[in-house]
Amino acid sequence: MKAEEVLQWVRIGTELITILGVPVVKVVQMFRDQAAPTEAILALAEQQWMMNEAHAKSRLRELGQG
Amino acid sequence: MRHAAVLLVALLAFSACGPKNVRTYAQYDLAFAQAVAGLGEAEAMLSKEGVLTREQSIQINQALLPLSQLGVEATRALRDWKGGEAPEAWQKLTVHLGKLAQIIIDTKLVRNEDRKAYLLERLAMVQSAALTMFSLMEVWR
Repeated sequence: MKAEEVLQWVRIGTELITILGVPVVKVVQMFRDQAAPTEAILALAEQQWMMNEAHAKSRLRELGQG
Repeated sequence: MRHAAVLLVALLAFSACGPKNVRTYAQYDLAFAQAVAGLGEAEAMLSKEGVLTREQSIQINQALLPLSQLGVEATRALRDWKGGEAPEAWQKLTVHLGKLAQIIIDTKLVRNEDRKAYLLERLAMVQSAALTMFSLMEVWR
């Protein structure tokens, strides 16, 4: 890729960040999330809640309240 | 370029409407759960730093535990939710979130009260995620 092309991409990226107020990575992530099946997102959310539950239980055990 | 960006934002916004509501709820539910994880991590960190007493840590985790258990129930309820009044698990979640918030607000840190800002920041993220979720449920019911 030529230096001018690289600069062009940098400009596009910078403009996206400026206009949207969010990093391009976030935009890509939003697209990826939109593409993910609902069931997969729900499964991830359920898993995260279960991890939160396990974390709270583990902390209570550490604190002598298990 | 600017028009393309505006269109992109509009597409993202509209794609969240209509039959994709459950997906949007699922995304906010995930954000909510991750925010609660952040709060749990903050508690553990501040406890390690010695600015939270053992009793305060116990109190916070005793509030985080039922909230997380209700989070599992609430996520499962989302799968079958067809709109209308928010599922019961979500209503209970609101009550528990209020109790947790009160505990954190009332917590006086040992030695370094400035570190409370960190805890409050994490709580704000949880409340913001929850508020978005409940607002969407109200708007799309």
